[in-house]
Amino acid sequence: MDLSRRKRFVQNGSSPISAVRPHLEGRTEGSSAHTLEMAKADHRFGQRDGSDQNFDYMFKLLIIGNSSVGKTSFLFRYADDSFSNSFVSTVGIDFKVKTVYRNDKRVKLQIWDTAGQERYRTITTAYYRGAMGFILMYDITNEESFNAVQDWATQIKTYSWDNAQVILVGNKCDMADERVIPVEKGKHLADQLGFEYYEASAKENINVRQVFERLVDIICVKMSERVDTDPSVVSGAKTTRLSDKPTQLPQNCC
Amino acid sequence: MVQAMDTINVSFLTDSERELILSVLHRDEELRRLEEQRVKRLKAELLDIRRKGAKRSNGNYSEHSCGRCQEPLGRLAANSNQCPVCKHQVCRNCRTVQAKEFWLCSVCAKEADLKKCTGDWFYDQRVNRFSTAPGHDIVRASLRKRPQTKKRETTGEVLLNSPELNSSQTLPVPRPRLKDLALGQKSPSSEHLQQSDTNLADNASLSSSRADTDSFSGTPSTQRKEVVNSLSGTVSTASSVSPPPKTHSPSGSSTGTETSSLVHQINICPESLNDVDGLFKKSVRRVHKISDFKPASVMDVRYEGTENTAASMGDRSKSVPGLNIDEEEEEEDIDNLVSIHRRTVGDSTTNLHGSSSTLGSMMSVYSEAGDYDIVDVSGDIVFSLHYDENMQKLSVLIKECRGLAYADTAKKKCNPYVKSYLLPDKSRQSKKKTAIKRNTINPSYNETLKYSISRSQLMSRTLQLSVWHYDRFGHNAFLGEVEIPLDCHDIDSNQEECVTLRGRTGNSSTPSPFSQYKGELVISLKYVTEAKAAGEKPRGKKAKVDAGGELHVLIKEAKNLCAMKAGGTSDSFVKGYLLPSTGKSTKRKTQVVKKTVNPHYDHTFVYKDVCLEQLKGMCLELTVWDREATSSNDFLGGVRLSSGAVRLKEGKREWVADSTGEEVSLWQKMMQFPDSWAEGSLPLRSSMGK
Repeated sequence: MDLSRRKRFVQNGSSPISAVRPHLEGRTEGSSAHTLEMAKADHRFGQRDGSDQNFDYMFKLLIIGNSSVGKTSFLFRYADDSFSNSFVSTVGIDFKVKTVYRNDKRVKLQIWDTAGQERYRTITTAYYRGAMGFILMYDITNEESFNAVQDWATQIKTYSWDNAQVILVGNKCDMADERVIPVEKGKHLADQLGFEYYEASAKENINVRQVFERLVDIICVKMSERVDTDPSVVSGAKTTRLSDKPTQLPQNCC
Repeated sequence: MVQAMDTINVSFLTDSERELILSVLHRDEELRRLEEQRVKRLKAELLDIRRKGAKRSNGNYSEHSCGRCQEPLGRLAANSNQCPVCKHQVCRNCRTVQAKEFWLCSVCAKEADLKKCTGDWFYDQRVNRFSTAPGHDIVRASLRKRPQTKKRETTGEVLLNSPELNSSQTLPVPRPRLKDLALGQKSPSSEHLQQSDTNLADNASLSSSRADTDSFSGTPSTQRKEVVNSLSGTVSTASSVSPPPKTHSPSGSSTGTETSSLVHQINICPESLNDVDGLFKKSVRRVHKISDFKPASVMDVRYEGTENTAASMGDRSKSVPGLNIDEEEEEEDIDNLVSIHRRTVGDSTTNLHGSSSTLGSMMSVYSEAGDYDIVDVSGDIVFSLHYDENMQKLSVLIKECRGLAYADTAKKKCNPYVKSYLLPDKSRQSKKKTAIKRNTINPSYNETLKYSISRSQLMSRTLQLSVWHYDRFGHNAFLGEVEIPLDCHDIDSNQEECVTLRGRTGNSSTPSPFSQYKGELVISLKYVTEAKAAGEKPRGKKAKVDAGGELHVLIKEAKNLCAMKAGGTSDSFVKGYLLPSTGKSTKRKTQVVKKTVNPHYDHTFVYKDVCLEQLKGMCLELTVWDREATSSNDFLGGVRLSSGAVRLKEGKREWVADSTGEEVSLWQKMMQFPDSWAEGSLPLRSSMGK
């Protein structure tokens, strides 16, 4: 695994605080590693941001994949339009909030960034459940991360809810020289798994926005499918769970 | 409480990791809180639309009028006017076009829209998936528990919190999986390492992460093994509920400040992480209930102890600490409160029909009884609001009033004082008063009235400030009032406000019990026929005599309850009566589920020896309460199930049950299909007035 470009911090498990994320320009909110004071400021900021109730839908998305494939960078690029070459592994979970305008609707996204490391797995899988969309990411320069995609897909099947949508993303597509996974191979796997497929680069800002927007779109489609075409859903959870719903109606209808 | 039992062991996290994750959870909780409010608002909107003119099940209406706006319909094309979902005949104005040639009536369209806006289209499916249980709710609930424990940790807070955490450890926690045991050891001993492959894998990754991050790539393959392992682990837990696991003992048994903070650390987000266990919750829960019932009540006591310490900043300190109310006494308290509640609501409505001069005065339960002179309201009130986030306290500074009306114009008499309520709560707890100023119509108070209340709870409240003339001999006279809905009010500004006093606002006595969104109650009803019931109990001598079946009421869960406790939670339980009997014989209660506004009760009330014919004339009343340790419980909402306008005799009083909509249909479905469960999610009434 060549990481000449992406410098690694060696994390010494006993005090990962030493692995504080470097501060990037333009990033004010979010990342979990902060001093207490920063956390307070974040909290206030988050509140202001979060309290923006001017939106129609709220979607929860989750980014998963092996360690060091670039999940955090991908999120930072999208949410803050920032990038750093240094690597710090995510501690457990983190999230960012971004509101997008899609299909005449304002959609608030809560995007969860997960730790790829095995040791946090119990924590991260707990968050699969409420996620409406997944970005399953691998690194096109790292074969191992690609080989693990199948396993991640199984994880999604195991822990997520039905109707969750998945997009497979091959990250670091700017590193052509070090590519080990051809586009076709990624595409083929995505087809097999029934996911949509993109190659992207958080560093060069290629396809980042597109991935998120596509994911929002396919969630919207799924939502419309569920709600608009199935009247039983409309009339509420109560009726969907009843074995026979006509009986409920007669006394209501004339 | 039940779901708080299983935990994922996260002792492998270091302190700083914990802190980071906690801060993330805190931000998430903040977001959830706001989201919940938004959802509440949206649902309230829907209720509003639904109420507007919708045909009622019991109403007599013409087939030729619109089911929504009640306007007469044209003679033509009757069928094409039918909403495909609710089957009401609907006029053109009450339709919303969804797609080409496809429309829904305004209410159904709004409902569909709501499904999208609230995310229910996605989240509701979990109820259809038996195997996956309510994972999301658990995360939610457990996250809601966080605020106390995870508010930016000062060491002091950590220490403050640790007793609570300690006490929770004494609960019979399901035995953690083997791998957890191994991980729980701070220095993994070799015997633990040999327990299973997974252990090895986990520990290996743990140690490798210490040494060098490069050495493991984090493929999920080992994790999959874990899934299998956890499956078998949880199942075995179900059959053997054992005393507190050894895992905690290394930290829990020793004492000292350092350890208690450690305990805190070890417990970080155990519930939010217990999701995986939650997968198999359904099968586990029942076992818990039986074995945990006793310990739960034991724990209650401890809990109160810690709550009192926590409440030292709250104004629950008003109540006498350490006063242990006897269980029965407390129950009577509830009953008493219900009856008071009923009486008040009842009275105020009759008042509405009666003389309007006394309107409103009767609404106050503990005072204002009796009428008062009618005064032409005039003047302003000057006040400021401030919410203290740390103390969870709302301060209402009553500065002064200007240009009040004289209570007695002839004698120029006026001894004004200001009274405040946080509506809809009109109980004594909610009532605060300033001092009485003598002989002035421009009284200056500069008094601060304080409410201990969480911010989320505050959002559903309305501050009512009323000005009264105090008359030592006669009746107090109403001089005007203002109402400030707090959901859309800046409560952080501390800005001085001057508001003109108004007279009594028309029908502030909540015209419809559904006008306010109080959350939902999910229940399942089943009528077990005589034969089956008798079969189940071989000693059924009595069954023969009375020739009746059984009514089973499964109280599943409640959603979006009002938060009554600090931290935006409630400790709720459900109480049931099968009216007309209000005696002990039909009274049932669930256990108290602590610290959540989305509690899962999964408790069944069984009423024996009832026949279907009887049920037609009965009414099942379920009320949800927030349990208060040292004062009377708070009413959170209720439902009234019956077959519609049933006449009931409660002692001497006779009244007609006002069950509507789902309350009626669910009850009828239960009677229509004996021996099968009828499930429904019912909106909670904000009052149970009759």
